[in-house]
Amino acid sequence: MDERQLVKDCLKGRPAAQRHLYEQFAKDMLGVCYRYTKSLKDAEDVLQEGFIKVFLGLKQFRFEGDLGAWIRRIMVNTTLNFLKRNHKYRTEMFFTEQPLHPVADDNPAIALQAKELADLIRQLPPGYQTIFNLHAVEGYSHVEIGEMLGVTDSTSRSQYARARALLITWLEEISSDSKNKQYVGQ
Amino acid sequence: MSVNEFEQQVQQKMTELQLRPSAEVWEEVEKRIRKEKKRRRIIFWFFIFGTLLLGGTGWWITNLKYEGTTDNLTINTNNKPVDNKPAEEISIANVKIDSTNIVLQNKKISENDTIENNQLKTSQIPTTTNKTQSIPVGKLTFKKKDVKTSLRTAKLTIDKIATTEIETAEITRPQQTAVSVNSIQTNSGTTQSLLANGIDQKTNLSSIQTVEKENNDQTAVTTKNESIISKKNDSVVAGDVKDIAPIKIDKSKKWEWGITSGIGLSGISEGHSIFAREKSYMVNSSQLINAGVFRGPISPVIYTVASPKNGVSWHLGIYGKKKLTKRTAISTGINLSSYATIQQTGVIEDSSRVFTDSRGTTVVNNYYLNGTVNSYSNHYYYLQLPIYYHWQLNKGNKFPLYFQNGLSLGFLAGSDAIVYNDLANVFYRNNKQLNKFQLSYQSGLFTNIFKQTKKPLSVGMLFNYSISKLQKENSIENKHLTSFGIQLGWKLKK
Repeated sequence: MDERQLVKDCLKGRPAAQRHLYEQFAKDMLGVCYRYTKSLKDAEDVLQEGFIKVFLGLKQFRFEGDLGAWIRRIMVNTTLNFLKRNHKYRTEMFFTEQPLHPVADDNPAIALQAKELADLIRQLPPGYQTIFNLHAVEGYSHVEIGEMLGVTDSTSRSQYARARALLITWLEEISSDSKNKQYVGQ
Repeated sequence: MSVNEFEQQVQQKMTELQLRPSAEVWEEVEKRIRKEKKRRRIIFWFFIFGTLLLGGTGWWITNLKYEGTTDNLTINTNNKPVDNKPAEEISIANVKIDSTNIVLQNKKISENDTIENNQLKTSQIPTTTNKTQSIPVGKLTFKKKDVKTSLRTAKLTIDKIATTEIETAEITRPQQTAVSVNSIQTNSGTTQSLLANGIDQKTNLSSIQTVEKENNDQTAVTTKNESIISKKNDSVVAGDVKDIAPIKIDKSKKWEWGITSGIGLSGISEGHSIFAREKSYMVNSSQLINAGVFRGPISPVIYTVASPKNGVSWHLGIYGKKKLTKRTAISTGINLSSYATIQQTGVIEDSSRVFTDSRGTTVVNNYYLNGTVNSYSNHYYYLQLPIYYHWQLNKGNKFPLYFQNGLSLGFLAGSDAIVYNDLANVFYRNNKQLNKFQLSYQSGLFTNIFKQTKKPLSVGMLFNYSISKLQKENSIENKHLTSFGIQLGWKLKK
């Protein structure tokens, strides 16, 4: 269905169109929410809240950009607010200064599947996880991230560097384990 | 955006990530959007119903009078046709009777005139009856609830004039009909029914009748619903007035209505002062933690926000006013009121964001940073239902000074106002933060000018203070709308 027509039908309150829009974007958006949260249940809660906002705020969509990008932005913002509100995440959100481990390869090849990589990202501390997702996946600049999270851009930059290093370390470990297993198997 | 190879790989992988949500998610989403739609529909119909109810009530209050008028109805004491109006137009159904304002030869029978012992006690009855006299019958109005008294009074007044002063007076139409002055009659159905001699009692079809005499040998009774019963060979004479108790016409029972408008300054009061001043917001670590804003090591942050400057307020509406006593009255009506304030802000950020505030999360397409480079006009539009008590402070009628006090219930019809989020230190539009209903206290001083004209004007100063908070209860703000300005009231009808 044409995206413009789909939005118009949704604005008219047609249930079939609303369901169609949900089905079209729900899987991708749950992926977004999943990356920022620690459990699938939390991700679904955010997805639900985000889609309610999408439907109630759909009249604000001006057809100037991609509908999927617009929905994704709402999901990201909803997720951030969820993290701020939720005690479980909030207490762990303070950015602690962890040592920056040197990594052997600054740009390692990622052999993991999407879900495996997402699970790895979710193992990062909440603050790192959020900033990593915002910068590496969503593509926000550190200045934008600073505004969104209420931190300075330099804080965002340093936290990202640590998150990235930690993730690469884990990837190297996984890669090394995998090689060892292959070696033992031979 | 990063162009690093690692980031590109992560982005690529994450765009592939798809997870199927459980069925409960959609069920809950659907339930919530239906509920919200239902809520909006209820508000919409409540608004429509309220408007219709108020409009209907206003109409009922102001239009309980018989329709139409025959402004040019004349009395020709010489029995000569003087009116060129078509016969059909001279119908009692088109005559309004105002027992308080009958004019003969430009003289009024005042409200204090009474009828005692079948004599109208007034000095204003014309003494000369050989002239054509105009009666602005269009002024002869009364309300249904007063029909018994008013009609009787009207009848008495006219009959008395006819009997005592204008013995041969007739309302005539060219070459056809003469309507006797005593032809306006009541049909109260009581012992005080005042049918003229010779009029068939069976014609009591409505509360108003007129007797027509055609060519001196035929009488017709025209009722409001235009039915005519003829009775030949009867002459019409002035009706006898019997069983009439002294009646004083009570003008104070009437409602008057008109248009009200006003203009002035509006601003924000924060309880301790009429209009707000610059305000500082200190946000400390515990507040940020409670609000869920995560930061690094936090020291208290102080944001200084310029309080809104005063803007222009106006209102326009209709009112109905009823005298209670000689010096007191009540009034009500419906107004569309606009209040404006001017908020200094920083630059506008034209990007979509979700903010969390005391009312939950809000998706905005743009927002203003805190600052002073821009001036944003906040507008608040309310439909208001005021009810006032009026008290005349002085005794004189030349320059009456009225003290007006009352309450007004307002419904927020619309707003483009921005609200401040002290955690994000930004402004954005969020009508959910605003109270939909506002109870206001209003007070003022008024006087009447152009009292001699048919549509006098009242002018005065009106002060308005919203008892309700501008923003909702759990908002951090404690703002109240205030306004002060001049108000005009134009009496259109009574």
